[in-house]
Amino acid sequence: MHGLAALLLLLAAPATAQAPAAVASRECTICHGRPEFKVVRSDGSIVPLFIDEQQLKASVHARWQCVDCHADTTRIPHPAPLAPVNCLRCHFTGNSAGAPQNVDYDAYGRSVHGRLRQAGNTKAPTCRDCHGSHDVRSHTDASSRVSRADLPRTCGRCHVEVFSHFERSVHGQALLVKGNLEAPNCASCHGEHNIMRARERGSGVSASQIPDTCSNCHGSMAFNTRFDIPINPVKTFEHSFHGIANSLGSLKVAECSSCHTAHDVLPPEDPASSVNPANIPATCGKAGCHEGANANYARGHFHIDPESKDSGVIYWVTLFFKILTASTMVGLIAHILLDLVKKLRTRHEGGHAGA
Amino acid sequence: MSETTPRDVLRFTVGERVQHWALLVTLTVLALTGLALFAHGTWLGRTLIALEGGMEARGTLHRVFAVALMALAAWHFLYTVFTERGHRQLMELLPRGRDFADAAGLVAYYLGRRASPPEFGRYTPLQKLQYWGAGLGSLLMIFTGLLLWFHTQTMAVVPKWVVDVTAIVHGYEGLILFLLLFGWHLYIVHLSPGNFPMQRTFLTGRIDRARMWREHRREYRELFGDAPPGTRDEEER
Repeated sequence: MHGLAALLLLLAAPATAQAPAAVASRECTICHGRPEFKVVRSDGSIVPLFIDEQQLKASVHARWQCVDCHADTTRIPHPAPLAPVNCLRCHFTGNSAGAPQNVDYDAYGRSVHGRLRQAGNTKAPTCRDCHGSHDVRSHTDASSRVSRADLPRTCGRCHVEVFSHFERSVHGQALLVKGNLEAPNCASCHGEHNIMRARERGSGVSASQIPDTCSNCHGSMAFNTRFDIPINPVKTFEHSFHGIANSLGSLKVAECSSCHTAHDVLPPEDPASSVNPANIPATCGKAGCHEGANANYARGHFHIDPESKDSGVIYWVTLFFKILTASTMVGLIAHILLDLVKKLRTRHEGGHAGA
Repeated sequence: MSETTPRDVLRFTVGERVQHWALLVTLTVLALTGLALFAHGTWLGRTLIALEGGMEARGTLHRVFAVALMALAAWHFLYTVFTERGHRQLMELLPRGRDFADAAGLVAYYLGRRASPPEFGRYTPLQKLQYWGAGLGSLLMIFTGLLLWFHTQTMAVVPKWVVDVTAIVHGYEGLILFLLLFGWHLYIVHLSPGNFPMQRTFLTGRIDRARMWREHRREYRELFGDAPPGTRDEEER
């Protein structure tokens, strides 16, 4: 009988649940509306069970009733504990409940978080670990756990050390201290529901993908100029040996984060930066790269644009060779034409072809 | 013309022809594996690199044939310095004042300012240009290539910008060498009227007297006197 009721509820919810559930929510607050309401588990831990109704009213789920999500509640008081809420009841593409349609909800199952969860790792996050439970707010809401500026703190609840690095980086400083919402947060590079391990091909931060990911912002000179980056770091990388090899699938060569790091990105002027001239030998000399790199590695330009006079000697040597190549071609083509015309003409006249 | 007859003259020995083949093969592979990088953004470059087994296999292939080119350069050096025939060829190939006058004469002939081309010796000014272009070009490619190959050792001594410049020189010099050999040289020996579909001397090592009279008349005169081929005076020699 319970099973049937649950099934009916499952089918009926959420569209028809509203009217009777209004009563139900009021019934829930009889207990859960009391701040001192808690349960003491057999292991001695205390679980607070107070639900702040105001918090729920301010969330994106304000119009839903408790049992719309806690759908296994068939009578009140309910036997403790209830099953975890299944967000996918509403959050799927094509839903009629008003949940966002433009989110790839299935991606979570393929993500590193989803896969770990399915493998039985209870520390791996589910929806509520990032989005909250009774206080879910839109990512566009500045007070949301997943808002542009607050997401790093949410991720940092688990990824503590990464957060401590990101916080000090030029990206973290801009976002968290200066409040510049153009600065990237975790999701800008790692994705949202589709987060993969960095070494997995589908990851936005994998060796083959990261130049594309960084180019989302740094590919635009309009963007770079505003942040005092004088050259196009993406274009110059793509034309470098590292960039060519990277684009052709080599995973051994340096990509953006090999030199700039992933979470400690700092401008080269900063003594703590991995690309500060003083730190260049250590950065280039990493194991598997240019082991034995010395101070000579810092003597020259990086991200060289051979077309720009700022590249100094590189610009002039390139220009010289362009002129040399062009004049060689002109000379060779001129000789070929002269020779061709002369020989065709003398042959036509019945003469011998010369040299 | 294509059949060799006893009256043909040996122009290149077997050893010289093998050197030419070795240079042809090594430079072709080096060009395909090297210049593919120039075209990395195009389907041609990507196809070439894929055919070469990907980026890293491409690099290995380039280095293997670079070693072969260095071995060939060493062989050619020993040949031109320590063998009598090789040394004589080198001496014949040295540019001389007369070459400039002959080159100017050839241009005048092309332009119709003179009736016949200048009389050339064993190596024409254009052939000398091809030899020294390929030779010195290869040496420069070997030198810059070694600096890049062993960049860690290079940068133990010189700053990064020298290596950056070296990479540019290596790339453009490779391109120029490619144009010189795969554009110009191939036109002259294969496509040029009178040589089409190909001049066979590089295969047989032989040149017939008629061609020698036309193209290397001073050498012909030194060997067979002033009588043109086919005349009675010439037949007797």
